[in-house]
Amino acid sequence: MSDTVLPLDLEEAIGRSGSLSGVDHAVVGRAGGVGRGSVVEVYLSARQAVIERAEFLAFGAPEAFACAAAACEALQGMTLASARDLDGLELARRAGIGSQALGEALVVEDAVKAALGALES
Amino acid sequence: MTVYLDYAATTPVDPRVAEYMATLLQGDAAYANPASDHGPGRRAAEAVALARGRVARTLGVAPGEIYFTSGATEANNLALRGVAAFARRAGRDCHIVTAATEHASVLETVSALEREHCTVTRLPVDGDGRLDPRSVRDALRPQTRLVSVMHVNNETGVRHDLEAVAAAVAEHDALLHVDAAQSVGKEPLDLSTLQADLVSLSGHKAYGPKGVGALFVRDAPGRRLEPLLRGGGQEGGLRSGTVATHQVGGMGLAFELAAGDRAERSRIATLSRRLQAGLAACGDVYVLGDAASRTPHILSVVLAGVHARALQALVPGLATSVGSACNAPNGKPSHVMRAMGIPDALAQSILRLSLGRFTTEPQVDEAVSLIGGALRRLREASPLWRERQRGAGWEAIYGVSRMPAAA
Repeated sequence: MSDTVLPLDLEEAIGRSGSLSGVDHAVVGRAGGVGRGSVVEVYLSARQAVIERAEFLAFGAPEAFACAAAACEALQGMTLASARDLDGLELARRAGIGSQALGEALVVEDAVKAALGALES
Repeated sequence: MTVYLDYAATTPVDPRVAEYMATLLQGDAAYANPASDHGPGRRAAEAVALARGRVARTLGVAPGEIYFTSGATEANNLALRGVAAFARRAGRDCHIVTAATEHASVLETVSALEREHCTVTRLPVDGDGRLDPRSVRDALRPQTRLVSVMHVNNETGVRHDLEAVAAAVAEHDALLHVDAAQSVGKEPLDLSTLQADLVSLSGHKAYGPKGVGALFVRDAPGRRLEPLLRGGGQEGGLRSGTVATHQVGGMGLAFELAAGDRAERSRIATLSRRLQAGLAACGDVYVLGDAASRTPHILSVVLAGVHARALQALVPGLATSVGSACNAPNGKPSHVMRAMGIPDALAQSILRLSLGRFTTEPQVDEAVSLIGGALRRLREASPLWRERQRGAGWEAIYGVSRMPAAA
């Protein structure tokens, strides 16, 4: 994997958004708050401990979209065990956002963890 | 080509102003120091006098009552600090009354004065951003030296009732300072009838250059200020420093042009109504500020379900502001919104659009189209919009008791 990460374009990130509402066995994890500036929902479906599909909805600044899109791209095909290690710093790096927007990445991390928790419950 | 709808942050320099400034900068028109007692110096002094006269005529005052500064921020500082320092030198207590929605250059200055030797009363506004003039009257004390109230709010476009505020202050031995940076050429401001003692003015908000402004100081007993800058005694000793001839010349012409275009306000009002109607058609768009109190050139809207910064990023061909441009670099929540009782949650969805001299009807239509397209895409991706589609009210989603008026 290259260490060079280009910032994710907002157009591109929005193009990757969506929800898995109505998909069998899909779960959703939600994090953030409107007053905090971002709300992220991460939708996951998995089979045999491997994530098959990952999508998101987001309200927030462009960095929230970038991190959520980067997370969903990374999660697809990932084992649940590996997904648990995906943290905000890694998401920020993958999304190519600056440290000033790390809060957005942490909200996405929380949404991913909530979705993983829902899958395991 | 960018559609520029950020005139409240700054206006483009009018080409006639730029051309005139270039003549002042070139050749022997006005290169000399206007304080110099020789031919070139006198030519520069004539250009400064012409500019002072133009600014004065725009406001209905005498040229000798206009003191050039580096901008409205300095003018605000000079008014507030100047009055406070004079009171202190005279051994008098100093109480200042202002409103919670004033520009940062007023609020931060009064906070600094509060740490030094003044007491300050910050008056609240209502949910529509209006200041109750009765609250000004109630706040006045024997020690009140200054009441500082802006004419037009830079974030919402809400006008304060200056006549009523002036009437309240006139009953008292205090001065009235008005920050009029946002209003020259956009709202009537006649200082021959409005009893303001000090008025801050900006060049770049009226199609003039940045880096120049002025403070009007009424020539009447008791209007005494201590200067901020000391040195050569320029500007009647109130603002030392070589006068920037081309800057003040540009401001003077800009003010004259703004005052001469009487049809402009009506044209802007028509465009603003068109913009608001176009945004209303997008659905779930709300307007901040009482309609009757708003100046037409500023339209602040809540675009429910989307974050305004995301919308801005999605339409790079449209220049707008998220809250006040003055606050934009630090990303702080807007003190104006908070003072109006608008929680930070709702403030995330507020976009400010401001129109001006070079805004055209096709540009307004293009802006509506760009915003409408971005709104649709962001709402499709928004969990808040999903909640709304499932029947939740915006009040519950944003945690507010009521939304502003629908566009």
